[in-house]
Formats: sequence, C-alpha cells, structure tokens
Amino acid sequence: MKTSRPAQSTVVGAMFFIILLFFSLGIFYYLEQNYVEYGNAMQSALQLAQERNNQRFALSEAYVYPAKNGFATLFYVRNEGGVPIDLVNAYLYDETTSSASRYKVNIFVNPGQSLWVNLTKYNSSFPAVLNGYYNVSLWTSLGVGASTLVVATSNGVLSSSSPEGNVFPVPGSTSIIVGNAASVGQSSNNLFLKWKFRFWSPGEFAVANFTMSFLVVNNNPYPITIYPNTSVELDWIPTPEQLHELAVEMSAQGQTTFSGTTGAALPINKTILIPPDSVKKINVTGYNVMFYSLNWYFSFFVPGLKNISSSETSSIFNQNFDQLYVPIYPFAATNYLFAGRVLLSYFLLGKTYNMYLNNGYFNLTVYAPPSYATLAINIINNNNYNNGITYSYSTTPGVTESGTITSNQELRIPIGVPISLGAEPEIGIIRANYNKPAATAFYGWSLNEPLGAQPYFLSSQTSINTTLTVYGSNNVLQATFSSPAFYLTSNVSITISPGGSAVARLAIVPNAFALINNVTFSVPSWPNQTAGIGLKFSPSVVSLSNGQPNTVISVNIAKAVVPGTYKVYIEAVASGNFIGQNAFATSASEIWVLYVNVIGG
Amino acid sequence: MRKGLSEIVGSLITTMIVISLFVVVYVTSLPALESFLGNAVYTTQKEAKQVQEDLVIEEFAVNLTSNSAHIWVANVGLQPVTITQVYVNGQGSKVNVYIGLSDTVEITVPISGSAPSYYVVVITGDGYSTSVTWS
Repeated sequence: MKTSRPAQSTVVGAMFFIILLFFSLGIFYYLEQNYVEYGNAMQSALQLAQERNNQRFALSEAYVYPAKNGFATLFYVRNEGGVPIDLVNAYLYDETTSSASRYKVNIFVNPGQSLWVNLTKYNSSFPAVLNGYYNVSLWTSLGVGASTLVVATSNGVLSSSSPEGNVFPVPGSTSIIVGNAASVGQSSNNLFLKWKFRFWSPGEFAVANFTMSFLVVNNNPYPITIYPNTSVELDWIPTPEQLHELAVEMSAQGQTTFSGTTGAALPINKTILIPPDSVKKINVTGYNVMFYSLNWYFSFFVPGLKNISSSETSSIFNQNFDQLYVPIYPFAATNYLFAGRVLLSYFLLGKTYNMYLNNGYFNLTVYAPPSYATLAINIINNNNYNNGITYSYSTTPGVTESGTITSNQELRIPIGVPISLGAEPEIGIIRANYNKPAATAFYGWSLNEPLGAQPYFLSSQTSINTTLTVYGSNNVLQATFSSPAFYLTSNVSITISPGGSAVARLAIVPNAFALINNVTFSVPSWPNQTAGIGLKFSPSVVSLSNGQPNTVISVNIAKAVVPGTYKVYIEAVASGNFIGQNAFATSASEIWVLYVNVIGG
Repeated sequence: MRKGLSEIVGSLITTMIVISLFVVVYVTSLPALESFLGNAVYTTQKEAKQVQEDLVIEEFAVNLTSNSAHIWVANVGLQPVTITQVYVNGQGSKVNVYIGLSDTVEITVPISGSAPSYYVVVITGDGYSTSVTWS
C-alpha cells in the first residue's frame, strides 16, 4: 500500500508553527511569573492592611500630677482591638508654641489589656510649662495612632479650688482633659471620626465648661457635606446603684418620665464641606453643664450659647436648652460618668448617611450640694476649760490638715469631709453653717463626749432640713440640725460638798434672728446618766423678758451625796420667735453636760 | 538515484528553511518584543513595590520663626522607601530622604508662612503618595 508524503511546504509550516507556539508559551510563562510576584506582593500588603485594621486602641484618662522634680504624666491606654499592639512613637505637640517632639517608646499591650503609660519615663520634662495645652499621640509600628489633649494648669491636679462646691473631672485631677481621641473603628464610606474632649472648671460653682472637637477624616475620592442634622450629645451613664436610686426617688416623687440618658443635643445649622482625602476639625465650644439641686436630682442642662466652627466655616451658634436629671448624693463625693457622642449626618454621592460615634467618656465628681454657695461645719471651742480640741482631716488625697482648736477658735471644714477629733474633745460646739443669701443661720449642739458616745438630736420646725455627719476616730457622731434658735453655754464644771448646793450659771445665746422667751431645764432620762447624784433645778423654768440675748441664769443644784465626779446631762428646751417678716414660733432643745465635782465633807 | 539520501537532504533543507524563517521573524520583531516584555516586567515590578509601600504622617509642626514645617513620617510598609517630594499647601520641595523598614524620620521643608490649615503631601520615588490635612 502506497502512502502519500506531505508536501514540503506543509512540513515547513507545521514546524514553524510549533516553534512559534513554544516561543509564545515561553513569553507567557515569563510574564505570568512576574504577575505572580506582583500577586504575592499585593497579598502581603493586604495582610499588613488587615493587621492594621485589626489594631484599635484608645488613649484616655490623662493625668498630670506633681512629682519629684516636676510633674508626672500618666496616660491610660486600652487595647480595644483583637490583636496585640506595640506602641513605638509618642509625640508631644505644644498647642501654644505649635512645636512638637517625638519620643521613642516601647510599650506592648495585649488585646483587652489596659495599662498606664508613664510618659514622664520617656520625657522627664513634660510638661515643660504649665498653663499649656498639649496634644499627645501614640502610634503603633503599623501606623495606627490615638491622641488626647492635656491641659496643664498652674495648680496641677491638686488645684481643686473650693472643695465645697465644684465639679471636677476625676478626683484630684482638675487640670486634666479626659479624652479619647482614637478613631474607634466606627467608620463607613471611608469616613472616620476622631474625637477629642476637653473639660475644665472655670472656677465658678457647679459649672463645667467644655470644649469638644472632632476630626472628620474623609478618605473618599469625593467630597462630603456635613448636614444640619449633625448633633453633639452628652449622656449620663448611671451605675446600677444610681439607676436604683433614681428609680426609688422617681417613685417617691411620683415621676413617671425620665430623660436622663438623652443628653443635650446640639444641632449644626450650617453645612460643612470636606474635600476628598482631607481632614476637617470641628470645634464645639462654650458647652456648659450646670448642676442644680432640685430636691432629689440635679438638673443638668446646657443653658446658653454654643459655638460650632470648623477650619473653614464661620462660627455657628445655636441657642439650645436641654436638661438631664441625675440624682444627688448631697453629703458624699459622687461620681457621674458622662459620654459625649456625635451623630454625624453627611451627604455623599447623592445619599445621606448617619453615623454615630460613641466616645469621649469623662467623670465628674460633685462634692457638695451645689444649690448653696457654701456649706460647712464649724467646730467651735467655746470653753476655756481645756487646752484645745485636736483635729485632723483631709480634703486632698495625701494631704492632711491637722491642728488644735483653742479657746473660742473656729474651724471650718467642708461637709462630707471625714474629720478626726481628739479622743476627749472637751466641750465644744459643732455648728452647721449655711451661708444662704438671706441670712446666716447657726445650728449647734454641745459636744463634750468622746465622739460616738451618743447621738445628739436637735429638732424643731424649720424650713431647712439636712443631716450632717461627722466621723470620729472610732465611731460616728450624727446629728440633725434644724432650728437656728439658740445655743447654750455654761461654766461646765462646778464643785459642791455633799448635801450642799451650788449655782450653775447658764448663758442662753440666741442668734441674731431669734427671741427666746422661755427655757425649761430638766434632767433627761438618758442612757449612761450618772446615778447616785440627786439634782434639783430651781427654778426649773426660766422666763426671759423680751428675749434678751446672752441671758445668764442661775440654777441651784442641791443634794449631791457621794463624793466623786459626775457627768450630768441637762436638757434645755427653749421656745421663742424668729424676727422678721416671716417670723414664726420656734422651739429647740439642747443637751449638754455639766461636770459636778462632789468633794469630801 | 538513491531515494533515501534525497529524503534526508530534503529534511535538512526543510529544517534550515524553517529556522531561517524563524530567525528572520525573530530578528524583525526583536525590538518590539523587548519593549513589550521590558515594559510589562517593569510595570509589574514597580506596582509590586508600590503596593508594599506605606507611609504614615504621624506628626506635623511649624516653626514660624524659620518658616519651616516639620513632618514626622513613619514607614509602616514592607519596602524601604525614598521620599523625593514634599508639598505643604501646594508649595513643593525636593528632598531625598531614605526611610528603612519600620523607621521614622523627621523632614524639614520650607513654608511660605502661617496658614489656618496645612495640606501635606509626601511622595516617594516610586510614585507612592500619602497626604493629610492639619488644622
């Protein structure tokens, strides 16, 4: 069988085609290898970006406090992400001089971990000057940063001004900005918010002045427009105990609605344009919070003018008024946690988006009922008998005030401050001093027992009803002060012979607004009353004409029997009138101790 | 005539013709081929490097006494980079600053004066850029 041979041209063409095919395959393989290299590079870059996205931390609660050779600066760093972070760079930006410094740090924070960073360890001279504003930022090795603003005042953190009625940030840190400037992972459409929170007390009672600012980072290739619905809010975040307290008080007050967690909205009434790939800082200034004591709650509201501005727009003013009621704890320092948040409403490519940023926590401590200008306890040593009453107390952590109250000297301490008096403070008078606009009223009782021996109660009709608590070294002495009618003084010690008699001279000292008409003396049935001494008061009822002040009354005391030293409790009940247009009848009682020394016959 | 020899000679001639044709085609297209492959490889490698470059402008400060801006830039990418251009509010400055991996440098460039905000752009030799606005 004869086979036909292919034509020469066919063979040539086939071979040529095969060679070209392999050549092309070689080129393709070469190019493909390059793209594999590109793909690997892209994959590693995306992995790095993913690691970066997983890193999230907050820099909050900055503290500056006096330390050896200057000041120490602490920051609270919290790793809010799911991966460890390594902080490598710290920057201190002086907003006064616009100068910045970088410091290498080496701080490792595990997921969920919070730790204090002592920045003074890296820069012992920070802050270089006081009365300055510092922006402090920390950065990880992957380029994730967080910052906060620190205001260092001339008084440092210990400058709590008057402890009788100020609103502070965290206790003992008046000068501090509590801020959280991290971008907290709340983002949409490549839009990020970074939040700063500035707070200081302007020195006025119960008024806090806030400046808030937030950065809007537009990472879009398109501009965005912030819309008028954008608002800033402050929310009270009650503790479970405070919520319980609130519920109880609301029930007692017949309240059914509560807006405590609504906060104060602050709408923006102008649009703000943010170009592509740029950052705009929006400031909210003049944001005041006031605390008013209204029976059982503070009224927390934003009373006046606010100012929102950005770097491009002119100031935006809003007249707004909103209230937030929080329960009061009138005689103890109380912490209230607030959160600032922004509801950002913006316009992007024909659509409107809303985005919440919940961040920027700060803690306020209220030290006293703020409805009065001053409220203090006066401790008066009004007797010449002893060498003085020793005392010590502290209004500032780590700083103790101590001394001796000598004769007729007065010590004034704020309400709610624990005070230790000497183990045997002799006769003295503790008075609550309300400095109200209309009058200064005094309430008092005699104290000549070791603190805690017995509670003393004075009560009568009054429009003021408060409770003062004084802490003794071991026990608690508590008294309810009400009537401002009078107080008594006496020569506290008399000496008589058995079967004899003596005269105790008692002085009635009404205050400037009361007329005392009658005083009745008696020996109360009082626990621990010294037995074995028979006392008889003559007269037992003393009438005062025209309520003369500083009346001295002689009281005969007889039938003391057994030699010894006796403590005799004497109760005096006075009735009289207040002076003035709103005069009303009043009565008050007081108990004090008379020492009777019965000597041998 | 021996038929087998002619077949061998014919095959050799055919092979030579094919090789000659390929050489002619290869030599003719060589410049275009080199250009194509070179561009493709260059572009790919450049892009592979670019995607691994990442810079963060961590801090910015101005000194109005000397009319200069201080920019702290951290290399948080996977490639060492060389910054060649810096723009502050449109005012460009040529620089030559090398930043190794995980390193941070401070760059000082002149500025024209104070401004309410500063738009800062940093560009590397490979064309990567990052920007931020400080106000």
